This record gives sequence, C-alpha cells and structure tokens, in this order.
Amino acid sequence: MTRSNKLGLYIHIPFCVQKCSYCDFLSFAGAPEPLMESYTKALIEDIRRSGQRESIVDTVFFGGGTPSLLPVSTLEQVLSNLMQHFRFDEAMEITVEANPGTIDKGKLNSYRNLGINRISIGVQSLNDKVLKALGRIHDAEQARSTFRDAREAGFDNINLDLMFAVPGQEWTDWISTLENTIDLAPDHISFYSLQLEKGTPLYQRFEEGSLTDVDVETDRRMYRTALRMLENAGYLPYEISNASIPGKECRHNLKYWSMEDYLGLGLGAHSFFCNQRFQKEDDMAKYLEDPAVKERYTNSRTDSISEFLFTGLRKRTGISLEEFKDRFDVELFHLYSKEIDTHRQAGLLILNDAGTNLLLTEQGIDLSNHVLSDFV
Amino acid sequence: MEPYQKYIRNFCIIAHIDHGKSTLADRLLEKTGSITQREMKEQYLDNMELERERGITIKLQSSRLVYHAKDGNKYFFNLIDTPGHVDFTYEVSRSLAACEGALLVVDATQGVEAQTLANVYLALEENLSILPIINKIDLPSAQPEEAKHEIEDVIGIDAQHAPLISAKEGINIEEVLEAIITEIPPPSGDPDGKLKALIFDSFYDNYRGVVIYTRIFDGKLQKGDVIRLMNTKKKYEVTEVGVFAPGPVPIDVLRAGEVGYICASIKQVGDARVGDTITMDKDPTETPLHGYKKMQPMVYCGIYPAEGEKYENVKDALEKLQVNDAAFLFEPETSQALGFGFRCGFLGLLHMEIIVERLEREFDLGIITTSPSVIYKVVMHDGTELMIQNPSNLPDLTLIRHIEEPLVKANIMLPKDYVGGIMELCQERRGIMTHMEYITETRVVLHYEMPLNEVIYDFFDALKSKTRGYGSLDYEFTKYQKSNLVKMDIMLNRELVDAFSMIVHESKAYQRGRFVCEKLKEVIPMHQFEVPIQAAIGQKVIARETVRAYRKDVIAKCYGGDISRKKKLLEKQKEGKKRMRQFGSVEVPQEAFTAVLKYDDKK
Repeated sequence: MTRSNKLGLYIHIPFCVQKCSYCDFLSFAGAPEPLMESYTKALIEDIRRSGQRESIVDTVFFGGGTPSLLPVSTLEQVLSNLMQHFRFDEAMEITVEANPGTIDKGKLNSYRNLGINRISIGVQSLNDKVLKALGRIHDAEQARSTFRDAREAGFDNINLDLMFAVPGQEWTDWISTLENTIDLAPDHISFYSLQLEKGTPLYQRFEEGSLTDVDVETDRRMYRTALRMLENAGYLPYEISNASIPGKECRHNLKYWSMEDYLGLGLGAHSFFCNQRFQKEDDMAKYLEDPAVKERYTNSRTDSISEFLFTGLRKRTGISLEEFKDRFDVELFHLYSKEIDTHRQAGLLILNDAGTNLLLTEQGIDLSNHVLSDFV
Repeated sequence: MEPYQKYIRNFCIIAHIDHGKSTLADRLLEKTGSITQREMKEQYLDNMELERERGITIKLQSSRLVYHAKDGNKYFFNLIDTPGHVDFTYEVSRSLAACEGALLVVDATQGVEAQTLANVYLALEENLSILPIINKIDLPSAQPEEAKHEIEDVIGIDAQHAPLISAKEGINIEEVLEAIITEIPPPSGDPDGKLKALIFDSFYDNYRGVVIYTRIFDGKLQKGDVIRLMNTKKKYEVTEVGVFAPGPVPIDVLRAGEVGYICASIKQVGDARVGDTITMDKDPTETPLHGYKKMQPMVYCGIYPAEGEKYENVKDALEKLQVNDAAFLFEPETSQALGFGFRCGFLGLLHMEIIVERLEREFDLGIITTSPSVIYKVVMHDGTELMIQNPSNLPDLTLIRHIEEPLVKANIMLPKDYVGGIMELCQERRGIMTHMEYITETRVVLHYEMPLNEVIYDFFDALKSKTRGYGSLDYEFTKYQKSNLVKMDIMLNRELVDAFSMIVHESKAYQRGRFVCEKLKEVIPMHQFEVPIQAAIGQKVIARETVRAYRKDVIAKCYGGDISRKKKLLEKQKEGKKRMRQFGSVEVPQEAFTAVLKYDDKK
C-alpha cells in the first residue's frame, strides 16, 4: 500500500435500470439505447482527448450508475480505446461495478475475456424487505447468484457492497446480512452507513415523516459489530467503510485516499492530476456535444495538505508522518500541534505503536468529520 | 404678533406606526415642491435604512415647506417629525414643545392606538391645537366615520371636519395644507426680547460638528452670536444658522417663532441636550424653558466583540454612535465568559435593538449581546444603596437587606376580543391592573402597573403575537419598589457562564430557568461528552437539561474521487466551529445569547 505513482482511471457510466430510492449520484434511469450510443461516442472522444502516454495506468474502475448495463461490445470498445490512448501496466486492476439483475454468467465470462479482473457487486442487503426499501431491482437470491456466477466465471477478486442504518432495517436484518455475506466469502466487503441525501425519494419520505431514521446509537452499534465480525472472519478493515482479505484491497480507491493521480472520464467525472482537481462537464447534453473539463482548480499547498490529511485519515493505517514530511517538507506535528493534541487527548486520534503513523481511533472514526474539519 | 409670524406654522405629525405619518410627510413635501418627484424616495424623512425597514422613525427630521395658499399668501410650514416609539417619549415631548399644532393621523381601517393616544396627551399638555386627519380612505375596509367618532370619544376633540385623505394615493392633500393654515395658530414671541430657544434635537455632522434643531421663542440668532446652553452652562460661538428645506440652507437670521438649525462647533450631541434652553451669553434670559430632563437609560446590556472581532473596532463604533445619541451610554466591562466588552445603557428595548442592529449593519461588526437588565436598587444591611445594572455585580446575598426594582405604568390598547389573553399575559408578568376603560364599544385600554424587567424581555413580542398585531403599548417609569428578586445563574457542564446570569423575580425563577435551559439545549451542538445545562439560584439547581453526547459525525461515502464535496462539507463544519464561543469545555453558538431572549409562542 505504498505510493505507486501510477495513474488510475475512473470511467463513469451514468445509466441505471431504475433509480434507487437513496441515490443522488449522477445517473439516468431507463435511458434509451441511442442515448447510450451517443454517450459511448462522447466518452471515447473524452478518452482520446485525455489520453497521454507519460504515466503508467495500473487501475481502471468502471463506476456508475450501473456499468454492467452496458453491452459487452461497448465495454470492449471503451477498453480498447483506453489501451490505445494510455499505457497500461502489466499488473492491472480493472474493476466493473455490477448490479444483480443486469448481469448474467455469459456477460461475466466475457468480462474475464476482456481482462476485467475485479467485480464489485451492489448487493446492499441480503434481506428482501431492506432491498425493497432501498428501491433495488433485485432480491437477495439474485444477489447471491450473481456472486456465484462471478466466482464460476473465474473472478478471484470480488467486492460486495452493503448498506446499514437503512430506515426500517432491524438489527437482526443487518447481522444476518453480514453473516450471509461472510458465508459467501467474497474477497472484499464495503459497508456504508446510509446517508439520507436531499432530493432522493428516501429523503422526501423522511421529511414527510413517513419513515424514521435509524438512531445514532444503533447506527454505530451496527458499524462496530460489522468491524468485529469482519475481523473475526479474516477481513482487514483498511478504510472507514472498506474491508478485504489482506492483499485484496481496492488499489483504485486507495488512490483517492492517498492523494495519488487519477483521471475521471465520462459525465461529471472527477480527476486529480498533476496537482489539479477538475471535473468533466456534468450536463448530459453539453457532454455529448463537447466532453470537456467543466471546472479546473489548481491545489494550493494548503489545499493539498488538508486533502492529504482528511483523505489519508480514512485509512486504517492513517497518515505516515514521514510521507507527510516528504511531501510537504514540514513536520505534521509542527503544523497542527494544537489540533492533534486536542483530539489525542479526547481519544479521537492516536499514534500507532511504532509512532510512525497518525490515525483515527474507533471513536475518532465515528466523529471523523469533527476531527477532519479541523484540518481543512 | 409680528407681521412675519402670521405666515408661519409650526407643527408635527402624530400617528401610530403604519398609520401613514411618513407617507403624509412625504406627500406634503411633494405638494409644496420642497422635493421633486425625482428626489422622492419612499418616505423621504425616514432616511435611515433601518427606520425605513421597520417603518418607524428614530431620529427626528424636520423640514421647512413653502406653501402658496389659496388666499394668495406664501406660508412657511415647519414640519417637525417625531420619533414613533415609546422609548423616545421625552424626545417626542420636546419636539411637541416646539410646535403650536399637531396633525393627528388616524388610520381609517384601525382607529386610535395606544401610542397615538399617549402622544396626543403629550400634545395637549403642551397646549397644541390638534388637527385630526383620517388616512387610508382608499382602502376597502376604511371606516372614516368610525374613526372620527373614535377620535371624538377617546380624545374629546371635534373631528367632524377632519380631512379624509389617502397619503399613499395623494388624495385630499391640498385640504390638509389649507387646514394647517386655518386650524393651527401662528407662533408668537418677541424678536427683540432676550433670546430663548429650545433644543428639540441634534445630530452630528462630519463637517459642521453638532447641528442643533431649535425653535426660537424670543429674540433672534445669527452667525457670530455667543450663546449659552442654560442647563449644561456651556458657551459657544454660532458658526451657521439655517433652515432645512429639507436639505440644510444657511440663512442670515432666525427670529422668534421660527424653526431652524444652528451650528456652533459643538463636538458631541451630549453637549447639546434635547430640552435645553439656548440664550445669549451676554444678555441671558432669567427663566429657561420648562420641561428639561436629562435622559436616563432604563435598560442595560453587555455588548462584546464576537469571536474574531476586535475590541477596538467595537469601541470605535460605540463612540461614533454616542456622538449622535445622547441617550446612549457605554462603559468598559469584563466578563469571565466573554472577555473584554462594554456595558451599554439604552432608553428601552427598541433603542437597544436599533443600536445593536446598527453596529452589525452599518459598522459590519460581529457582536454578542447579553441579557438586557434594568437598574436594580440594592439596599445593603449597612444602609448603603447600590444601583446595579449588571446581574454579575450583585453583591453576596447575605449582605443585602432587600432589592428594589423599577415599576412602570403600562397602557395597553387593544380590541376587546383579546382582553382575556392579555390580562393573563400581564398577570403572568406580575402586572397589577389599575383600571380598564372601554374607549369605544370594541376597543379597550388596560392600565397596568408592571415591573420594567417583565416588560423588557419579550413582552412586546408576546403582546403583538397574542393580539395578532392589534395591541399597542405605551409605558413610563413610575417608581422603585421592594421586590423578591433573585439572581439566576446558568451553568454549562457545571461551570458558571456569567454572561447568562439574570435577575428574576423568585416566583418566575423556575419558569425562566426552565425556558433558558430548554432554549440552550436547542442551540448548543452535541459534544463528545454530555453537556448538562443547569439554572441555579445560589447553590440550588432549579432547572436542568442535557445535551446528549454525539456518537456519529461521519460521512462514509467518498465516491468516484469526488473530494471537493467532502471538502466543502468539512469547510462548512469548520466555519460553524468558528462561530462558536468556547466556555470552559463547552462550545456555544453566538445565537444562544439572543435565543434565550426571544419570545416563544409555544412556551
């Protein structure tokens, strides 16, 4: 998990069968085929313009939306364009997000043949009641079979996404989802506390008062129990919401948390490259016409320091003091002595045993915004 | 009467808030050509932004209008505007003293209000001729005949010939101008007598120094005269005399019966006090004009620089405001909780709100204000008396024989339907009804004796809320009275925060304590630990709330490399922290100080 200095590529596929009730990501439900085709064309133009051969790319991540909605031929077209305009490393991590109900054994086999070697399945829950509340298009059994199909297709790096603190979710629902997920033995598990986002149907129902949010105590108990169960099952929680079998961490996502370079391709995709943060056009009509950068911002030193801290502290290993000094030419403790002291005294931050890394405690994770906001 | 005096009329306008005083004044200016349409902003005379916003007048504005009457003569009208709030009763009485008459503007849809009545009584005390005017006759709900009857029943003056006007629409304004000539007597006074002139207002001008508004009763005044202010006993040489038309226009001489301004290199409005008499230093009059009072603040509060604001900036701003406001006092004080700041004295709550808002808006300052307090008279066992206006300064209870608090006479005018609710409210505020009168079949005046400290918190808001805006209030100080008062302290996480301390009546302490604790619970954010909020009298805790410890403040998702969204969120959170004030281990948002003062319908 050291810095690779290699480039990650994120490819955004903003299409879904239907919009989930909690989702505020940039994606369109029920898009007609011609729109997908024009989007692919624009995306390829985006790839062509963004292409460069100075850096070596070692991760590609198809996120969405629902990338598994794309026809295999389209995915193949995009991948071959990527290879044409970027230099790929020998040891690639190529992830595709797949949602149960949009993918079958045949598609998964084709993915293998395209060189895709990691599948991230949006399971969310193995409880049908919860899946319904989330507005998912599949049931628990479909999610299980998608996982089994992926295994059978030969994927040895599979992530399952889970959600907890879903309104209406019982404590036992969560525990059985965790148990059943662990039983499936995926290589990687993400577990997110549901965030009610404005503008989503779920939020609206919450505003209307027709659903009650999971109380904070239960939310945190769900989180900590998940940590314990995953650890006992041999998973290492290497980031606030991510755990994996050692060696199966998501290399692509780690780039976000380690301030490494990544390029975002596709509608509204975010990039961090050569100390600049930028976003692609996020208006579909405009993107189709001209897949250009919408906003570009050059990080100041202060920006970079604060981003390094608040992303880095999400990792279980925290921030390497030495790396901080290497990057910014100043001691972390020098810069933030008061803030670090306060939070250490409050038991929210600690140094690791070797004294080389600063990290959030478990309570610190619960209150991470409170801690991290002191570093922006 | 001197010949020139025949063509002068000095008058003011009395009206309740919103009854159209400023609009009428504007209309008069416009009709007489004193300002052109082009210059005409809405309500020209209310030239402070704040005044216009609230629809009230705080500082006086006066203006000379030249009117070519139907009789072929040219008249000079001196329109003296009056402040429109109970806090400024004294100033109102002095500007009335400068006039021979008053236009009484009554809203045809609402009738006479308490504030109007109070000012009419002041005008009658000064022997002014009252010219009733019925306004807003253009509104469908206007009942001009009702309004006339009310004026006759309540005030006892003939209103049959009152002009029916709409100031807004400009209807019948001419009639008002003619009636001013016929109904209001011209001034008298001997221009060759010994100088006797009334200061009825003053303001500070960066170039001229203090500009005094004056009415000459006897004698005359011109540039170069050496004047003496009889109460402050100070001497000045006059540098300019003039009239407002409505901008300042220098003239050669101001004579008996006239209204105008003078400048005399005076540095502070406090040196030219409203009500003082101006005379010649060389040949002074023996008898000053009656009615002079030094204005005394009735309400005090602490004003402190908010987090990140400089003490010096606040001090500078307070000094600037004081230059223009003789009734506003301040002195440095220190709070354990808030650090260095100022104890400030005001005529009343509105006066306080205005100063606070001006500090925030005109001077762009971040400030914290503490709970307002009246002045308590503390009688010690050894017989000494202390005047206390900061609850924190209350001596040890064992040394105190008793405490006295100021009482006011409050007159509340309201539609009869709301009487029950307001009597309840007054009783709850320790008011004692002295009498109640029906001024018409539907309208009532309640007369109460009430502790001022019950009036200053949120009484006015409560009155407005319980009468749906129809109730009006007028009050004046009467006396000090022994009362069972206690000091209530607020503790956050077991530490006393002196800025929240207040003096309350023992019977109200529990209720008040509960209210403050509940309010603080609403505004204090969750901490990593539980924060007990306690109200206590001495060692005894009388109310308690707890802010629960927070257990979750985390955004799990950080999707697709979108760092900026997360960063914005953290930045916002950081901004929020900046607005917090650290008291011991507890962070309190600045809104907390105002939140505990606000009237709450539900409570």
